[in-house]
Amino acid sequence: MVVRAIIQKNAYRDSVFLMNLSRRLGEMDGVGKAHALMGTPTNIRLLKEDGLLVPELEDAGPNDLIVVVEAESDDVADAAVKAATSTATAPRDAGERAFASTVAALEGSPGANLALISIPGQFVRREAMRVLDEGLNIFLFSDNVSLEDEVALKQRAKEKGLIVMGPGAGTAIVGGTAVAFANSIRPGPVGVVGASGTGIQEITVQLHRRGGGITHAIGTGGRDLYRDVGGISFLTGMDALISDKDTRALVLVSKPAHPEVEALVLERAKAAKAAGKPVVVHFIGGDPAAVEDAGLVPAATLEDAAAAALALLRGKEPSPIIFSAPRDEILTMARQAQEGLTDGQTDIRGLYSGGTLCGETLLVLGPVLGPVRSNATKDPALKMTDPNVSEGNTCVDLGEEEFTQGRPHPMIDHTLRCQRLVQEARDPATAVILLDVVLGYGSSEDPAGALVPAIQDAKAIAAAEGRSLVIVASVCGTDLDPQDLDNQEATLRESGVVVLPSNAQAARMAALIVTRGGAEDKIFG
Amino acid sequence: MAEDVERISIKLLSAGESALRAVNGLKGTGRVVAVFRRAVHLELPPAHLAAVCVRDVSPAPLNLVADLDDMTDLSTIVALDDTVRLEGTSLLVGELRFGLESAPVWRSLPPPSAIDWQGLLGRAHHCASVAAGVREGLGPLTCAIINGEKPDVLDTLTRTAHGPVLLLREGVLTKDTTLVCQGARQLVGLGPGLTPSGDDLLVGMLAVLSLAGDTWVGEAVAPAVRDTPDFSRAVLLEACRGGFAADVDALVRALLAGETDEVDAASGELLEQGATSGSDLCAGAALGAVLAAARHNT
Repeated sequence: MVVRAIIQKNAYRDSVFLMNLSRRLGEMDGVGKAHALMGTPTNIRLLKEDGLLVPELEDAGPNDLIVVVEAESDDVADAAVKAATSTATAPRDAGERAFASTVAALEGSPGANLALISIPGQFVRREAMRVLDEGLNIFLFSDNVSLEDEVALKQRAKEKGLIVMGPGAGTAIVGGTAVAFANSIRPGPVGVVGASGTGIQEITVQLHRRGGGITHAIGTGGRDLYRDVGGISFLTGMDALISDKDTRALVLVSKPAHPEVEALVLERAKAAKAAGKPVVVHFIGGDPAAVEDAGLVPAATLEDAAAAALALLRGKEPSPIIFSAPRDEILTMARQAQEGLTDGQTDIRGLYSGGTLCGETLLVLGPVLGPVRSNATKDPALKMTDPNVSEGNTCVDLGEEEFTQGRPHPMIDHTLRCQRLVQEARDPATAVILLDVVLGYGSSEDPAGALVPAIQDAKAIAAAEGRSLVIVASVCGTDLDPQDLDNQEATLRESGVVVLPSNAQAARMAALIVTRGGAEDKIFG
Repeated sequence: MAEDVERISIKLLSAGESALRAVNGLKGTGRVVAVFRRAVHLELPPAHLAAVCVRDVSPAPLNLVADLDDMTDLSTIVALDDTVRLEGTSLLVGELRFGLESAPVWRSLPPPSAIDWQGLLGRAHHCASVAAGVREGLGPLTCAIINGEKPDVLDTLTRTAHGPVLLLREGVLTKDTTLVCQGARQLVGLGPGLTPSGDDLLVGMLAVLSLAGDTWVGEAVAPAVRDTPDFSRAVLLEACRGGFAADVDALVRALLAGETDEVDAASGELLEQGATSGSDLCAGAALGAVLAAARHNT
């Protein structure tokens, strides 16, 4: 056997890193023992015990990182040492280039034209200004950036002919490259601009599922259409799509804008239409009249927005989608699902990872069921007193700050949602639990798999108390996503989940079930 | 770095007593010697260390806990070798400014007013079994020694540490400072981690014995604390003087005067630390509790 060692002077690495490095080296073919330790005298003695003491270790000190491998041949030892060296010198995952500062990152990335910034909000202004001054566009994932800083950054970007997507931007797809949370969408003729992360995801997914595709999807951050910001990034994004020859239709999505900003957006949208590019506008919860008055196409839901864009491109008249399946099939599905519900089970409980999806559900359910409480509503009368406790029909956005402080977003980690699922199941008033399952880059590797144990527990809890429990979900994803849409939907269905092809349809199905069909007329019109 | 740089001010939520003393005693310019996601280590001349941490890191004698979101990655805002200096009542670290004046000083709490000696052994065994659940590090060995069994993990670390832990146990039980120092010397710097397993085990043990009244053990261990990474040495020396992080303190109080579920909760918090640090701290605390109980009974 051959023993090789490397020493890195004054290299402090945390213990998880050292342990993982030891494991990884130990798992290499032909490697026997492997250690990554600090070079203390007691550890040197430990290596001697293990028969791994080699002369070069004599120079090691307690603040030095030492990596020792025992291998069956020189070649294997060389390969292991090389792997150890590259891992130990790379500050992060292999393949990722890390820089100690923004300036170094800019100098080390010639030719880059987009920087993704994800640092604490109070540091953003200075670092982002440096990036803009170097002529790069910005995708700003950070939140807690002051409105004042946002305005200053966006104005600087505008002066330089650049765009700042964010702050708090969750989604963009630029030239086919997904940035942050985004799905794998085929190329196509539709360009999307949105001040809404999961809104963009649902629209691009629905475009893809209908055979469409996109040129770019540009996220602007949720405050871009505030009066103070003036829609700077939204308008820049629109301009880019209007002048992009591959973009033949635009979809715009946002919560209702400030009237002055909305007027600017609609004016620009009219220019797009005049340039021969139809524009679909979905101001979530906004008044469609202004959109219609501008000669543009309003959409009531995210799914409708996608379908309308494709219809216009295909020379057809857009029409709203209630359900993809025929009415009788949907009613049968609802009837089957509601079997076993007791009279006391009267409530829908929505547990959402996507904020816009939660908001859309509130808009779908409100006119059908009456007031729906939420932690994400702006209506003080409907605001949950305690976001941890549901009451009546309730939709909770688990991506809101009160749930994400100090823990990963629910699109990444489903722990909190699983706990809440079980909590809701214990409430005898719960009839339907409504879920969104968001796939794509950035989301967890197997969201359906992560939810299934909690779904089974929830159903078992209800069954033990002589109740049934209906779980309705939609999967925001495509067949090209790393998690595989078909597998995710199949996993949910195998657990007894009623799966619908869009968030809006899932919300309507929940309403049909909870009203035992009583909402049929309101839903189907 | 240019002197006219616009520094970003960050509030300190707590300043460990020793960290504050080291900062206030800073001579000239210090530097950042290690950068991690949740903490950066500062070298503060003439001869001290302190850490700046995000807010979910436990207050500790050497920690300056900053008002930075738990998801903040400090390595994106502080670089290795960044300068550290005092300016008025502010500590400047690279491009950051920490106000020292309003930072609440964090001190270890005094020992509990009463110890539940009757239940101590049971809680110690429970804590040892928690520590043994992590197979790497010294949890399985310590649990086996506490239970009078042979360790079921027989890796080099376990074999190497077995004798020193027995020496330590013997030394504490017989109040033989030489044996304690001898055992500690063979454990200091031993094993994986930036704070090696042996160091963590000693910190856990010292925490219990110190709060149980056996402060002499810290004095006996101190001369053995030499050849280990600088920051670990500083933490261990603090422990010898009776200074521990709040999360270690919580486990010790649960062991000495709490309930089993409190031991569960506190050890669970510690297990989140590093690869083996948490389980080694738990193992040390369990060992300390068993030894404290035995000394009380004799």
